[in-house]
Amino acid sequence: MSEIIAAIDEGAANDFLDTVVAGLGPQSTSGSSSLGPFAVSYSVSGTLSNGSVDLIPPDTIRIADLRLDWSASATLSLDLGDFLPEIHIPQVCIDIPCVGTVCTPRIDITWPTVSVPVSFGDFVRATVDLGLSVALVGGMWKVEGIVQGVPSLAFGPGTAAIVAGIGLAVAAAVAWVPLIGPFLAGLAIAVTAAIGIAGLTGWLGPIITPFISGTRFPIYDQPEWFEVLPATSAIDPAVSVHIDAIGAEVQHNAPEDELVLSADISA
Amino acid sequence: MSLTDTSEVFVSVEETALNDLVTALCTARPHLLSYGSPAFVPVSDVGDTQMPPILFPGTGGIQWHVRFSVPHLDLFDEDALLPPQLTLGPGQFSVSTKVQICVDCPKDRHDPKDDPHDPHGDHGGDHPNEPDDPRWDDKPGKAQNPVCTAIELYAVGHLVGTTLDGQPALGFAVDAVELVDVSPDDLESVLECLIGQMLRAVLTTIRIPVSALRVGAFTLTPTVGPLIDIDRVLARGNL
Repeated sequence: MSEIIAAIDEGAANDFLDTVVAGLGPQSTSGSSSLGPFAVSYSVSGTLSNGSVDLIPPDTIRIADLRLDWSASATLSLDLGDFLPEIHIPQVCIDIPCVGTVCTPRIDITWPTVSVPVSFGDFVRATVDLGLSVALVGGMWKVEGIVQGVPSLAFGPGTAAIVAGIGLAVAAAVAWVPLIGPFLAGLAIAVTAAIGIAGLTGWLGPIITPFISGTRFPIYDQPEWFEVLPATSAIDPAVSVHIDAIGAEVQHNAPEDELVLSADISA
Repeated sequence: MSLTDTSEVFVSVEETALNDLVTALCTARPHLLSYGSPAFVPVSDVGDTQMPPILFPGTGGIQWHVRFSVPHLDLFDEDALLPPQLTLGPGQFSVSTKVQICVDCPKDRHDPKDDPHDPHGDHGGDHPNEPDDPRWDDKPGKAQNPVCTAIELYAVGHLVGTTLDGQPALGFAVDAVELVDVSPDDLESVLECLIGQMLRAVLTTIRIPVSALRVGAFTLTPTVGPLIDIDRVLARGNL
């Protein structure tokens, strides 16, 4: 039997993980990939907030509705020629008496490739099961909740609107292109169709899933030599005990499920 | 029954761990257990606490020293045998320790025959029961002729909630003291009164922060305890 036991009930575990998750701070990543037919460079950041905690013996902490608020800044590289019709105006020559033959120039419009910056954000929810990990690393005892498996993400209702927003942003960004005016509405529709909601979530999923699946939730983090009292003067040095062992488990102690940490110490 | 019962947080500490905490405290800060006047303790340091001599006319002050060994706690129920005069009840702890009491008994006049090679006299032969103790190395200002005794001491008491640097802490209060192998009875009574007061005073300086009882796990604002259960201290409360 362990010398020291500290336990919290499910309600306290919920409050405790509120604090833990809030302390994780924002996460971010950047890179480049493809979004639909577009090459895109991006930076994405996300911040987690706690859901509701369910303690499941013997060693699972389930967090339902763990929420990740994310925001993305991306630059789409868009070849307008992929979406707009080619325009070729042939040369026209007219014979004018006393002047001779007058020809208009041949006009071939080549649509440019443009870079379109877009910013958008929403949230996702996921239900995750955390397993308990206990380790002594570099003189520190650590108990962490580690996500078991990759959660499926439930995108928020705003995600669908993001696709349309990207289409409008593209249309606005290319409005300066000569002769494009008649095609802007069609361009927005074509971009929206090319990306699609599935395309957007398929692009976002692999990027932001690690924000959840790769997170380690710190439950206990104390030095192997635990400071009982800090030094307060030359004659009152710090007092420490050695933590010989740490354990962690979820126990069902009727009628409650409890998160239990145990420790053995020596002077 | 759940560990937390109707509270959010539960903490329990077996008596072995409590003794480890007390030992760590007393080992790191031995001055909590050692008190003496300047002849024994020239200056307060990590090892000893300097106190005034006992004033008494014609003596120039009686030099003294009291040192307790690291106390050993036994939480109800009784695992360590107690003298028959003491009973360990529910919610109580017993403490056993040894107290060493020394007084300096300077000679009225130096007899050169004691040590013909040293005009300052007094060496180890004057304190035969502790000849190698570094506390008296015969330098001027130190105890010249310390006489010491060591007494086994037992007590029972109860826990008290207290604070340490503004944080909740565990304290120890003494209910009864018993010395062993002291006679006659009236001398034992006098010494129990005297040493009992010392022990009470010493134990008030030994306080264990509640954060140490949970070795930093979670947080706990106690609403129940700390109190003594069988062979352990437990507390319940909120995050």
